[in-house]
Amino acid sequence: MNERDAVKSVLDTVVSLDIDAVAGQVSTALKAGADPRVVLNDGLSAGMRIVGDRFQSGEYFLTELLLAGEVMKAGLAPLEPLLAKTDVQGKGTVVLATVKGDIHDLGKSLVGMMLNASGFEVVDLGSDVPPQRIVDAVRAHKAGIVGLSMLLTPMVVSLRSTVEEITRAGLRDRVKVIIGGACTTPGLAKEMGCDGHGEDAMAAVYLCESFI
Amino acid sequence: MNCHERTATALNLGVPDRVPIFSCTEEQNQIYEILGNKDGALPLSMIREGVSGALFKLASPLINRMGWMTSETEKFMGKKLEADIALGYDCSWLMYSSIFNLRGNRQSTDIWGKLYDLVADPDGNVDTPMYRQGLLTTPELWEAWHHPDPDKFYKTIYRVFADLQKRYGDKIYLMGSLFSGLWESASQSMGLANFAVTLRRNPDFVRKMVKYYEKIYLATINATADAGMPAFVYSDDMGHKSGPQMPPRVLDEFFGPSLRRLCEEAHRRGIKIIVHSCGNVNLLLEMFADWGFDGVHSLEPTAGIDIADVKRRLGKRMCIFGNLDISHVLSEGTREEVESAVKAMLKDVALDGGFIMAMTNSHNAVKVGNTRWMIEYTHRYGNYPIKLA
Repeated sequence: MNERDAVKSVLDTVVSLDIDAVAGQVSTALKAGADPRVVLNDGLSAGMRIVGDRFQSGEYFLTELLLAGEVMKAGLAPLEPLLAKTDVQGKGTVVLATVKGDIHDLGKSLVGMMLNASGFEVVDLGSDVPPQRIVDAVRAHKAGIVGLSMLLTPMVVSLRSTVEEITRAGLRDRVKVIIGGACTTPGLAKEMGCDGHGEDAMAAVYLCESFI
Repeated sequence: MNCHERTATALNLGVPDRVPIFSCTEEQNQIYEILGNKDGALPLSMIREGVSGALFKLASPLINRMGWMTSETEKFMGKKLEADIALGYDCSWLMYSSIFNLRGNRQSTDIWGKLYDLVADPDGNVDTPMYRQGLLTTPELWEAWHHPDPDKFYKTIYRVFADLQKRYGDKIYLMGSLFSGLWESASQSMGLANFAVTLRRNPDFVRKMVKYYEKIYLATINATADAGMPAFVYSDDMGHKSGPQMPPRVLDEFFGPSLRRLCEEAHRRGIKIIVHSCGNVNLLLEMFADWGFDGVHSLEPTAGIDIADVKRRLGKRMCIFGNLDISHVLSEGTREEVESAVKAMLKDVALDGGFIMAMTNSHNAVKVGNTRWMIEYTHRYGNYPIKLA
């Protein structure tokens, strides 16, 4: 198998969600002479994007998206020691958090998984996160994007105070702020002075990529 | 008609005298406010802080053995029904939720192997614990867990339900229920990602898990029927914001046979069975009817469910419960907004019967005042024949 076909096989393995075959396919691609960065970008990540697109279009479901995340992890295991020796240029850093008062985690974690797979550095602060912690993380990680998640309308208060805290800290012109979650809409994003709204995990990825 | 006749008629897809109203409220802040006893609620600070907090932190295994959580939740079930009756509901979803054990003073586990954070409602009282992760991440851990014995479980549920039916069953139409359905119990006890991997690698193990939960549910349905309750709510969140959590054909293959048997058992025992699922379940609704459910609840508008469309598709097969918005109308809406939402709902879904008015879910942000308006306007506009321009 030549290098190109081997990388394509890695991609196909991710798309077919074959968790037990992916590490072997990655090793085969490396043995065929593929650059580890090419295996990551054109194999694992490209496969993950196809899965994400299929999830967005309704062809794949949540369990399949999560399984793809596990396939990606399994495929990364043989790659990581090699990637550590290379200079991988990411797409930038995104700080993710569920706003103060809300501990729902799943949607935000999916966004983090897909952003990671798409080449972003993700700093996931978890749920119920106070505004100041988000500001601190933006500064510490030099993040260019903040993604805020929330489930219900009463959490709008927390969203507002988070955006205000980012502005007060003098960071608002340096970071894009995007929102997502059950009760969020493009209208709410506009009302809160945010830069965008992601309807689902892949939409959030495309939104972040539009800022690059 | 009384509340029993009214609810039963709607569940049989008929036209009662008035649209029945269903309570799914589970929130301490609302229930004790309705009862005029806000101090009756259990504050989270009692578990987390001070001397009592230290005691809970150190001695939670002992406190669990003493049955403190069980007695608190059983007491709460009675308070919930008193509040539902006081507000004028016709029927009530009675969730058996004495399934939690404290794990220190910040978390709890349930009998299915799920870990939760203890969280507070806006008034600082203990709220429904928030799922954090599964503890039984591998088949080996699942096998090693002390799963409840279905026969013993039957006895526990029967004792509680029979007592509540005796005390409140003549005043409100009671629908027994159990926290966490087959899908939730199987997927959340492992964690959704681990479950997805296990489904791929070891489908026979998934079948084994589902079979076990089916036995628990059969026991619960029989306890409900033996206690004299006329209906059962099967609660299982199978959707998320934009669709089902797993492919519908896989759900049907792995869970469908068990769910059909649950519906058959409920019908054999002469009780109705209603499915509750949060999230966007548009792709599952016909399957719910095929499996044998008599009614469907939640139908979350924020997850993209159009209840009028559901009524058109399934109104001849299932009673539609729903689906007043809790994200704004019932949590922050004005009296006029509640009135308008109730009227729109009645006009869209209730005209030919087979409909029960309900909020889409229980949440601590819902206001008691808005709930009263929902009931008031359903009483005002929901009498058959419904005359709304």
